[in-house]
Amino acid sequence: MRVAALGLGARSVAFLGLVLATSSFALASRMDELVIALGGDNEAARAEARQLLPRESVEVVPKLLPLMAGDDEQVWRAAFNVLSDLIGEVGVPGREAERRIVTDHLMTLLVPEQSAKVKMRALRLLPVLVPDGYALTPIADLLADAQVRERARAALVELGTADAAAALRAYLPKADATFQVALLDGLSQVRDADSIDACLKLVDSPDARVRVAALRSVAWMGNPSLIATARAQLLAADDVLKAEARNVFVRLLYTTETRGGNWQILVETYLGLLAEDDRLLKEAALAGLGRIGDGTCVVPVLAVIKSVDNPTRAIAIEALRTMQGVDVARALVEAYPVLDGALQASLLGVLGSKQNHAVLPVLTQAASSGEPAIRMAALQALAATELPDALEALMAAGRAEAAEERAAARKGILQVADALRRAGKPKEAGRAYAVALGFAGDDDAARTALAGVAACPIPAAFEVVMEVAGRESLKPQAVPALTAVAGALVAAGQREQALKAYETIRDLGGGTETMRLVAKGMKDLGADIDVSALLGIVTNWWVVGPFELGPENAAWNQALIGEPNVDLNARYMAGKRRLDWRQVVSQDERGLLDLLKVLGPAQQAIAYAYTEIEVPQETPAVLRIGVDDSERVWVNGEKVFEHFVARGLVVDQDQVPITLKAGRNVILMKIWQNTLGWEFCVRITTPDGQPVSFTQRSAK
Amino acid sequence: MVIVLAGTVVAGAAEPRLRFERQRIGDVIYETACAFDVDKDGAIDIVSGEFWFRGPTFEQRHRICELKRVDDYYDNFSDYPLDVNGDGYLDLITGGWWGKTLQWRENPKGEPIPWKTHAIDECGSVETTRFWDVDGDGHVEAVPNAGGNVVFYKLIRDAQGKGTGRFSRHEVKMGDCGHGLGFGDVNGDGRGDFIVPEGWIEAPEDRINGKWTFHPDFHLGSASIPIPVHDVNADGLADLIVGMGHDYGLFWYEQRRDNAGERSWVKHVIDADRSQYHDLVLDDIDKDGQVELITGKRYRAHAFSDPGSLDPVGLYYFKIDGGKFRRITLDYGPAATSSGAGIYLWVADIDGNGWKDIIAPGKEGVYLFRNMGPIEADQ
Repeated sequence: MRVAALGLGARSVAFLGLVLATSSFALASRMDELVIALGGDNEAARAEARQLLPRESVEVVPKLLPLMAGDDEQVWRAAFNVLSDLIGEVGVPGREAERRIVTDHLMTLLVPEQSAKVKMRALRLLPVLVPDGYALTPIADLLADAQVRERARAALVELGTADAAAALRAYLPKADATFQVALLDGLSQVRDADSIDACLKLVDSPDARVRVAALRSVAWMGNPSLIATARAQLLAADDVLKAEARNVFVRLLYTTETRGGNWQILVETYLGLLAEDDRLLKEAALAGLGRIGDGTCVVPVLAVIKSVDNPTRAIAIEALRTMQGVDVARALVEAYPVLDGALQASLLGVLGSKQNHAVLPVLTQAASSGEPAIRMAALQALAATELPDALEALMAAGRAEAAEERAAARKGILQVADALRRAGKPKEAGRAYAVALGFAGDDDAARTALAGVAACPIPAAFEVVMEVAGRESLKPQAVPALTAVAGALVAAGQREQALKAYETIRDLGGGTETMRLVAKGMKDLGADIDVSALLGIVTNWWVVGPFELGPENAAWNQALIGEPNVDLNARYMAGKRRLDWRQVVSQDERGLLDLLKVLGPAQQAIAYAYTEIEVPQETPAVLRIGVDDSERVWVNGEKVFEHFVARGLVVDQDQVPITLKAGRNVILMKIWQNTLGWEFCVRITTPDGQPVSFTQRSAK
Repeated sequence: MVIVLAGTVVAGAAEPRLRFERQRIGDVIYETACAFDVDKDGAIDIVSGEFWFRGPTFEQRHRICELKRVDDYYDNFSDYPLDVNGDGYLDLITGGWWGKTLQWRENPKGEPIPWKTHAIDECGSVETTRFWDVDGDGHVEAVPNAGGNVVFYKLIRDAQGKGTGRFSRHEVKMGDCGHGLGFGDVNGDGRGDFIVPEGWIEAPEDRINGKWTFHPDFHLGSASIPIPVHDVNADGLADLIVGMGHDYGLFWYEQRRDNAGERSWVKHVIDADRSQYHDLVLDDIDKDGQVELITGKRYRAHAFSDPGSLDPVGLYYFKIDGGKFRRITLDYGPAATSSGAGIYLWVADIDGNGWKDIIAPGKEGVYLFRNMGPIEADQ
């Protein structure tokens, strides 16, 4: 049916809708207008109707059916799309009644009077629409219609319900062979248990294609009882059907495998197939054994390997690799000695993958083979075992002449170590990392090993870590490793070595946290150490003051004590008061010294603080000073910093680059007190912020 | 003791094979299961842990109780059906490691409501419980492998033979009884004796009041529960079949007697390469008139700390064949796709087709293996 176009613009339609929106008549009219627009010639009006009609009620459906049954492609497609959207709308829970109404209408397109193409359109829409329990007879009847039977079959398959399956199987006896194959394939997709018997009846069909399809349709059941039949069909299949028959047979075996419960039958079937001339079948059997085989399958698979080339050989070796269980490793080891050299070499990787102690003697022996390629393969396999007992053979290879083997051994040792660490075996991993460190051929390997030692420290790693600790390039990794090992030594009661380790770390220097650990460790071991100095904090001071600042801060620029020279025995007069140097030691963990407590209350005043430290060698450093209020600083008689501002103390607020000379260094600070608090603290670090360890002159 | 390394023989291809249909029961991971008609509707139901699953489809489940859970263990190490209170409905006898108590759960006459749990005795941590007719009166007694002791609990029945809900407690051996427990007539006197890891305990004539005699004849290790007593080699002497519950190995111990009547035991290896054989059942599932040994791996018996715990799981029956022990495998593979045997499996004809089925519980899932009879009959 072709409908004349109204030619209403969007605005007109909207206006019409607005005016008439309050009456059902108006609604019906609006729906009709849209339907007319959908079937009209005006593209814009049709497009708008296409968008708006899906929002209408299901009452629009009978009005759309004539459009969908028409010949104008633009029109029937538009109607089809509107219906498709409507079907989506009513497909949600709670709208079952509407869904049924729409189904009733669409089913009318399947009557014999309708053309094949109309039926086809309806069949495309129905599968997602038909509610459960709806009579499928109109669709099932179309299975007899040669023009649309395939679409009807597809619709029933897509429906996938028990009723759909019943319709499919009911037509099986009536269908010709070609369509039987299609129906069986459909039932295969539906997986309906009630259809099994109907499908199996066709296993005896005179048509080979049907027989194969019948088996394929029930292969999903994974019923091992069908294996013999499927096998017989494969044997009887001609060249045309052979691939399909093989596919069905292998699919049946696989589904039987996944359904479970019949391992023995399956494995015996797979083993039997190893003798097949059919390469693909043999490979399928090997893959199956790789998935589920146990130790009893090893010898038969090895026998296959001897008689085949790649790719079958590679598949067989992979099967041996993927078979699980201790008995697989044991069977491989037992069979290994009588295998030819090439096969032995091929199996080394398989043996390593078993990660079982039983394979170690074979791999160890292979690692000392006269053939370099075998030695390399054995080393990789030893590493793959990830067993601590593989280390000995890897260590031996670590001393090999060939650089390639030494590298493989080093890599293998680290691989074992990492695996042990992942497995939560820190002691074994620590030992492996220590071994790896001993064999590290370059800094990268050593760094990796040191990181491992740090994570899994053991006392036995002490010597090997000490050996590399002095290498500047390894210092960032050596310090934490040695710190961790020192802790392990302490825990093991090896005090002397622990102390050596701590002293080494102290001399190497490290982060604040490291130095805290060192300090604590050494203190726990009874060492006489200056913890603060280890952390770069200056705690020992001589102070003198308060001196009056004077008008216009005059004293700030006067050498009140003859600075930068210092005489700790000197005495000074501040007004009528006599001032002496006082020795004080900060007990604060930041090294903070409260001058108000030491020197007494003061405002607008000056004090001096003096200290001496020793370092073993010339050291670029940074004085990190916090002062309330501010300061002038001399190091070894040279003024290095000056600041004159009223402020509170913030740790490290002034950072002064200096160079400490080897031996004794003197530091003098002139400290200004404005009002309220009067305090300071000093620590010394390297330019990159690590504490500088030093010895302080003792404040007696 | 002599150890003979025999190994497992894999069955030949010519032997008829039983076909099984495997069905996962719910999505539960309890280690115990049994089957009986809970609601007396004529269909066998499956009981496992906190639920019973309505037969014959086992798709609908009903809660029995809430079980204490510790890591991936549920405090429920047996599920044995017994009409404890004489109301005509089968109740459950159970117990767990953490609860340290032997218990029975009262069947609410098949109603789909929670069951009431009653304590029988605080017997110590229950590894599992087994049920044997210890005193030969035709009724089973409950024997928990618990507290290092061998104690059995006898249901007190009324004059009509109905359970009263009460149990009497009978000590066999107190102390030094570790992991592993068996029962059977070791010395051929017609009375069942107990087997513990360090020896066997000879039954007196009066098994309720008499003194049981311990014979420290062997060291079985961390043995299975049960330790079946069976004349493996048909020489007229009872032998022992022992699984390693927490290690590799399945063995049988041959009983020998010399001319002087001195008893000795020879250890034979059935399987050295698979581990955690915790539960062993003897039953004739292929209907050849001979019992088979039905067993498998208890997956994560001690989490992953037991030797072989990462190896594949498996469910098997062994043809005993005079001691050749041919293994027939039903399932073998990763726990995600395969079944082991749990700590308390069940063998019975559940679907009524005349062939005994297996319910294999476990932390990998509870599976029903429907025995469909020989595959040759289908072909």
